[in-house]
Amino acid sequence: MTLAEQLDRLARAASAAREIGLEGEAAMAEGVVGRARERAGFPGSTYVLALAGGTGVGKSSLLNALAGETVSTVRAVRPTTDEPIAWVAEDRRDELRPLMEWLGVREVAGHADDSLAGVAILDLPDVDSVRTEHRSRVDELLPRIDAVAWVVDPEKYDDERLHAYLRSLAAHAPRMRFVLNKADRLSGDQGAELAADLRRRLATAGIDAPRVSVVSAARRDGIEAFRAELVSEADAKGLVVDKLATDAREAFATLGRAVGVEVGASVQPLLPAEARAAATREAVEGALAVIDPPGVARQVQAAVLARARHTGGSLLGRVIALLLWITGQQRRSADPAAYLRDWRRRGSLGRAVNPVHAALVEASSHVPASSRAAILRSLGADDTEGAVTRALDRVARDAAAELRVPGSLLWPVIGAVQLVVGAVFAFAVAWYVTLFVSGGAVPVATIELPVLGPVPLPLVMLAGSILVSAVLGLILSAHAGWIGRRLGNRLSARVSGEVSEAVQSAGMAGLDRVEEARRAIGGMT
Amino acid sequence: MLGAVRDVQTGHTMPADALRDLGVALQRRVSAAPDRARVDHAERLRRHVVDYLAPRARNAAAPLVVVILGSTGSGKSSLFNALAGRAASPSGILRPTTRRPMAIAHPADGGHEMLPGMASRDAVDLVTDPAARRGLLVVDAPDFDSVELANRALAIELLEAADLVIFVTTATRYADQVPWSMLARAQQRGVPLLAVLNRLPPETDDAEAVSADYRRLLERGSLADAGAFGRLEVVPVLEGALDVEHDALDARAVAPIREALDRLMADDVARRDLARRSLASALAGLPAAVEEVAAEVDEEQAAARELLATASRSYAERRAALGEDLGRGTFLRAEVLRQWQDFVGAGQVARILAHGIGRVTATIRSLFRPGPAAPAVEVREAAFTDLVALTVQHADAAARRTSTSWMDDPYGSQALGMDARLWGASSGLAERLETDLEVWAAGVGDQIRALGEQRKGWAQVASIGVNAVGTSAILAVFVHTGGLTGAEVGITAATAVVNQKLLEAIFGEANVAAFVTRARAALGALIDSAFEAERRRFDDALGGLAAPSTLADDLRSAARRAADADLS
Repeated sequence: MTLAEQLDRLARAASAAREIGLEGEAAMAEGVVGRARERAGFPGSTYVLALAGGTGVGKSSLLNALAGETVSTVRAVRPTTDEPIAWVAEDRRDELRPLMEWLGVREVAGHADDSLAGVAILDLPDVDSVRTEHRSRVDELLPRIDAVAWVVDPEKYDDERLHAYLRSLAAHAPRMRFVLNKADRLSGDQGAELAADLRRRLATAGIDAPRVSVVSAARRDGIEAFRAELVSEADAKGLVVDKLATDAREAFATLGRAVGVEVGASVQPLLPAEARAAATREAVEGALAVIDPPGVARQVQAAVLARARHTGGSLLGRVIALLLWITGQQRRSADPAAYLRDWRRRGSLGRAVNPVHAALVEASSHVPASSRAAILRSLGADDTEGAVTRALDRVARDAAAELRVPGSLLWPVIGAVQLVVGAVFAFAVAWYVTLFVSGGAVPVATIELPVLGPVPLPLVMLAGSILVSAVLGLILSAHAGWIGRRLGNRLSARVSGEVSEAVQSAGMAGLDRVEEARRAIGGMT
Repeated sequence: MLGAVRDVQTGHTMPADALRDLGVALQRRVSAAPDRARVDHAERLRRHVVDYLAPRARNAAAPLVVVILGSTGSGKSSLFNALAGRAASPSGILRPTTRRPMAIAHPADGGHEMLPGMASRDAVDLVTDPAARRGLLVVDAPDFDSVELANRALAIELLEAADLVIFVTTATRYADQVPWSMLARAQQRGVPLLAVLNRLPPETDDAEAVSADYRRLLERGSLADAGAFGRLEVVPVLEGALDVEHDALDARAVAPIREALDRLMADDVARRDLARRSLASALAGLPAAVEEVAAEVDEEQAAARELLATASRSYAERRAALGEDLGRGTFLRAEVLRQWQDFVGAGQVARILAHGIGRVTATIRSLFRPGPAAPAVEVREAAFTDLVALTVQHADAAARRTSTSWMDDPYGSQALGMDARLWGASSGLAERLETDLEVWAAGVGDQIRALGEQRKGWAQVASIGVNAVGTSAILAVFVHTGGLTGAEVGITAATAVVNQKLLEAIFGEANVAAFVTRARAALGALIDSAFEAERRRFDDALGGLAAPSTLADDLRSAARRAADADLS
């Protein structure tokens, strides 16, 4: 992968991190991307080597010794160097100007040594004096520096301040050098002994096989060898690219840590598939218990029946329907749309919400504490209840809005027949009443019925109308019941399916988003 | 023993009592401080009190503790050897050289009692030498700026225990930040100083410039008058001024230091004066030093109070919301209630509810259609499941709200970092509630039985089934008619009405009302205690911080008493 590709990937990972609320980490990674792209945009023929270290170890003296003249002021009074000073090949001075400006280095000295043209040497302020602004300056500059020569002396090579830097920058060890200065204070093989001790120390900081030069800037001992080493570092471009690639890798690792992903390893889901499925199942069951699709189906049946009775019922049936409507019974048991819309009044959502929330909290335990709050928010754990409620509301509202209690052509026909039958019934009753009132003055016709013989006509009409009305009523109920059941079951199945989908998407959408971001950060996209 | 100390001649109370109290208070602080830095801060002060102030207050004539303090590689051991006149402490080129403090004392002086803490831990090598200066215990301290952090701890401990500090630095080091943090503490506790500036460049101009610059820095650090005998003189030692035979700095170069020590050895009064001056300024500096620790305690306590109040508020709000939900009774599923309504509205039960002729017809009807069997167990379990779900939901919300606001506080986020589960209700909550509800239901059953026997309604109870009546009673606690209108809540209210009628028919109206009130109170208490247990997880997460304490005031008052005590 080229550096540009790597940086593109890091930029994507950074925006993924930002999307799941990891602002700090995202800003860090974006900083790395920005710096790397800027650095890569400058001429690659020269790399920047900084001389860094404590006050008084001889950074400026080392530079002057290399230059063979005074480039950086050396004084006995500590600390001396306030501003970084660059020492570059004179004929590259113009070419390097933008780079120096980017570094914020104002003092640039030139030299005519062609063999060192590939390196711009920077004399930095100290990192350990009472002038804490020096240290801040160095901390600001270090991320933009390509390579560092840490200058130490027999007094300061073991300072915690120095080793704290080395521990945090250990990934850049291939571009580090160590210069043990003031060898003139040592005698015999003390220099080698000290260098060995320094190597041992560096190993505990995570820097193996360090390149250590023992020099005396004051006596110019070892300076030529050091210069030769610098000269042999010919591939400035490669060094810069390596440096920037290391920055990108480190940034990836930091992003990865923040979301519980080990770079290079496969991305383990925060929530194992089984746990996720179990939580979803439980949540769906809980939501269905509240939405109650079988109850909705019952309501649909009742509503269809009520409508059938309304259009095709007998007189008695209509009276009963009217009574049910007046008492409000119909609204309670035969209004499926209202029943759907009222789902919130039928129980707590806890059974749907709790399993999701517990699963999300469990998922968040696999990211470090520092990013947990942001991740939980991205997981939607702060409003599982609201999300599930809204999703279910939508399901209920849509289902209720689309619900039409159907009619049938058959029913008005039955209704008309029922009216006729009712009229016959009324006529027969009236006949008897008239007979009763007139004391038998009204004639009664009889008709001859097989088996039964002659039967009075009013009685036949009475019995016949009741029989026919009952049969018609049964037909109506059976038909309406059949339609209602079919519709109710269809609606029930549809609502169940939608509830299941709604709970899944409302509860686990955040998790999907976070997992996608984690895959982007882990380099799996 | 300490408490009994009294200066017989003057009758004044010595600061021993106050120092002992302060030592105890600081020990409490050390064991309760929330992070490493604050533990170290308190421990440093505690050592100062216990290892230096207390012994010195007891005995002004005890040998002076003279500590040679300085950066790694600054030449402390070489100075030590120069002062001892022999190669007692090995110096070397490999850093850091001295890992164990070495002390040299005259055999007639019991050196141990002046460094009680270190001596008891065997952290100091004590050499007795008849040639050593009497009345002085000279200690070669480890460095305070190398990678060996243990060395820094020892150096700090010695700084706190010293009557006199010989501060060694070099031309390279004198403007380093770390040594100046040590000097700042020396200045705060007012310990008398002698200063050595080692490794000066041979060029006279440079050497003088560096010396002058160092003196300027000392002046700026308010240390110009901190010398053992007034002004603080800087003793310059040139690079390479060594006495190779004794592994020491050149004796002539450090003559002013040797002379100062000789003078302290020879002059008992001067020595006592120095000890007293060192003690007096240390005591005077005590309130300010202790105040730093006390302010940390105050800050933690205030933060902890705020965090705990947030937790209490969140849980109280959620408990109230839960109470409202419970009061509405809408948390029960329609399915559950319908089952119950079907049961109560038919068969045996209808017979009990009916009166006069209705009862006869109901009885006859029940012979043909006995009605559904009592879904007592199903309904109860379903009701409990819903109640538990509702409670867990609110406990989840309370935990989440608490955690969210705790994240804004450093102590809060630290506590949360250790346990991700604090973001939700504890995993055992549902189980705990289920168990508690079973116990509660058993209690309800007992009360029903007692009521039934009292009312001679037991036959009716038996005819429906004890289980069913028990479930009815439980439902009566969960759903009741108060505040509901039929049209509004549909099945809930309808069920509540019939259910209540049934119970009243069996037990009488007044009995049912009293019983329901009692059972509801018991249920409330059960939920309260579950919520309390949930909230207490946050107390536990804060650890020692959660307990209110008088520590800050104890520290301040002990420090003030010590500072006010009469030293004469």
